[in-house]
Amino acid sequence: MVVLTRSKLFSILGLLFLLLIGSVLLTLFFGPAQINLKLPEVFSQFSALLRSQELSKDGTILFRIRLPRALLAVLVGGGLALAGASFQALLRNPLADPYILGVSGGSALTAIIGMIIAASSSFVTVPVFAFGGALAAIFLVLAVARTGGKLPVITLLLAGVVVNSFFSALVMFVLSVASTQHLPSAIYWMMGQISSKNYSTVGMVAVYFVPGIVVLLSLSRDFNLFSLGEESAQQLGVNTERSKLIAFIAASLLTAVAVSVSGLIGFVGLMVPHIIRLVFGPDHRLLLPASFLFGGIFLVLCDLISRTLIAPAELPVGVITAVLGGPFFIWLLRQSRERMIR
Amino acid sequence: MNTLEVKDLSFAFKRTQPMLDKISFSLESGEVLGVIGPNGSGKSTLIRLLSGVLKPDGGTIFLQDRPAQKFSRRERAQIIAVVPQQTSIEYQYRAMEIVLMGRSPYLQRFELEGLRDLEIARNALAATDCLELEDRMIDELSGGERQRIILARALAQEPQILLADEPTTHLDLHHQVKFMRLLSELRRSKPISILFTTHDLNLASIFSDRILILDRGRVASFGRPEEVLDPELVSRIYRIPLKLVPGVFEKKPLLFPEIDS
Repeated sequence: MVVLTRSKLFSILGLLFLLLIGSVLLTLFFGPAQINLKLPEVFSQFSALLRSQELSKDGTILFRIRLPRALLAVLVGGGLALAGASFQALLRNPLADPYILGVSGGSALTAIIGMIIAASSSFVTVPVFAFGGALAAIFLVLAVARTGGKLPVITLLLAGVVVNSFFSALVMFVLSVASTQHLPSAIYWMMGQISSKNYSTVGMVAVYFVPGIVVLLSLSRDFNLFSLGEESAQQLGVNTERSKLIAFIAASLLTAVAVSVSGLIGFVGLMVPHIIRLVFGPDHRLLLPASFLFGGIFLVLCDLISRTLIAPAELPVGVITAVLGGPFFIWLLRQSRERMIR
Repeated sequence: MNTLEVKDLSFAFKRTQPMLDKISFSLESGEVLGVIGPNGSGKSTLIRLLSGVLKPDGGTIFLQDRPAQKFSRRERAQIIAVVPQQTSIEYQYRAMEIVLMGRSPYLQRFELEGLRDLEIARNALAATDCLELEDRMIDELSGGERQRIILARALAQEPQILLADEPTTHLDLHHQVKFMRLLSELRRSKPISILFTTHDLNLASIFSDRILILDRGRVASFGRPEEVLDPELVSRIYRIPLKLVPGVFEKKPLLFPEIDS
C-alpha cells in the first residue's frame, strides 16, 4: 500500500532506530585497543559512568572515549543528512547538499574566525559564528544561482562550487594571517573528523539540534507540496515564503553546528536521503526522520572505518565520506541528466 | 448565487503596464465559465490572482460574498482548487500520494491522512477515471493520465470552485475532449463551479455556460457563448478573420479562421 500510515511510519523508524543502536554497539567494541570486559563488567562500568565514578582502563575506553565519539557521530551524521534532505526539498533538486551548496564552507570560515577569537573552547562563539557563515553562504548561493526567478540545477551547482572555493580561499587567508600555531590542527579539522570528544560537546550539539530538528520535521508536509512546485504549494495552503525561510535557517543551523564540532564532512547529506528515497519513497514525513537515523548509522560506521583502517593512526572521516560520495554524486548527476533529456 | 464575484480587479507587474485593468465578472454556483483571449491578455494572471498567488493592486475578489483577503491560505485552499497547465513534479511519488496532497488544507501539522481522506481521494480518482493508476509512479504516466491525476488532486481538496489554467494545452485531441468532458460532468455529482482558460475557442464554446473574453487586460465581452462569440469582435481581438459556423454542436457557435486559398 502506498499510503503512509502511522504504523508504517513507526515500524520503519523503529527498525532504523534498532539498526542505529546496533551500529553504536558495534563501534563501541571494535577498535585498535582490545577490550577485555565481560558483560556484567560492562554494565557495572556503565553505571559507574552514570554516577560519575572512577572507571577502569577498559571502561574509560568504552564509555569516556568511544561512546561520546559514537554519539557525536550519530548527531553529526543525522544532522547533515536531515539538512541535506531539507535542502533537496526546498530547492527541488536531489543534488543539493550542505557541502555541495557551500553552506559547510561558509560555516567553516566563520567557525575558524570564532575559534581564533574565543581563546578557550567555546560552546557559544564557534557555533554562533558558524551559523552566521552558513546563512551568508546559502543566501549568497541562492542570489548567485537565481536566473529569471528560477533555480536551474546547473547554475545552482556552479554557484555552490564558486562560493565554496571563495570561502576556502578566505579560510586559507585567515589561517595565514593568524598565528601559525592554529594551522596544523585547523587543517586537520577542515578535513572532517570526529575525535577526542567528550559528553559536554555531545550535549552542546544536542541543545542546538533539537529546535532545528523539530522545526524541519514540522515542515515535512510542506516539503511534499513543494515537490509540486511553489505555486501549487501556495494554492494548497502553504505560506511558501515563510516555510522556505524558516527551513533554510533551521537546515543552516544543523549544518553550522555539525561543522563547528567536526569540520567538513561532505556528501552525507547527499547520499543518505537518496538511499532512503530509493528504499522507502519520497514522502518527507518519513524521509526526514529516516534520513536523520540513517545518517547517524552511516557516519558511525564511516567513523569506525576511519579509526580502524590504518590503526593506530586515524583517517579523517571526511576522507571516507568523500571517497564514497564523489562517485555517488557523479552517478546521481548522470541519472538526473538522463531524466532532463527524457 | 454567486460563489465568486470579481469587482474592478486590477493588477500590474510594472506600474506603467497593467496586466489586468478593472475586470468585473461573476461565477455562479454550478456554472462552467470559459475564459479566452490572445496571449498576454491576462488569463493566467487572472487565475493566479483568484488563487491567491498574486495580490491584486486594486478591486476586490468576493468568495461566497466575503472579501477573499479575509480567508487564510488554508481556508482559501478548502474553497478554491487549481489545475495548472503543466506540473513538473520533483521526486518519484506515486499517483495516490499526489492525490492525497489535496487533503493537506484539512490536516493539522503533524496529522497523517486518515480513512476519510483516503476515501475522498479514491472518489476523486474514480471521478477522473484513474482508479487503476493509483499505485503508478507519477513520472511514468502519459500527459493525459498525469493531468487527470492533477485534476483528482484538485478534487480531493473538495473545492467549491475549480480553476483550470489551459488544462488541455499539452494534451492530444482524445485527451483534450476526455478531460473537458470529465470536467463538465463533475457538476452532476457535486455543487462545483468551474473557471477554465483556453486558447481553443470552440472548446470554450462547447463546454462553457458563459464565456469571458479578455483583451489586453480588459473584459471585451462576457455572456453566453452564442451572444459573445461574435465573429466580428473575436476577429478583431485575435487580429485574424474568423468565420462563424452556427449550430453544428448543440447550437453552440463554432469559429474557424478564414484562410485564403
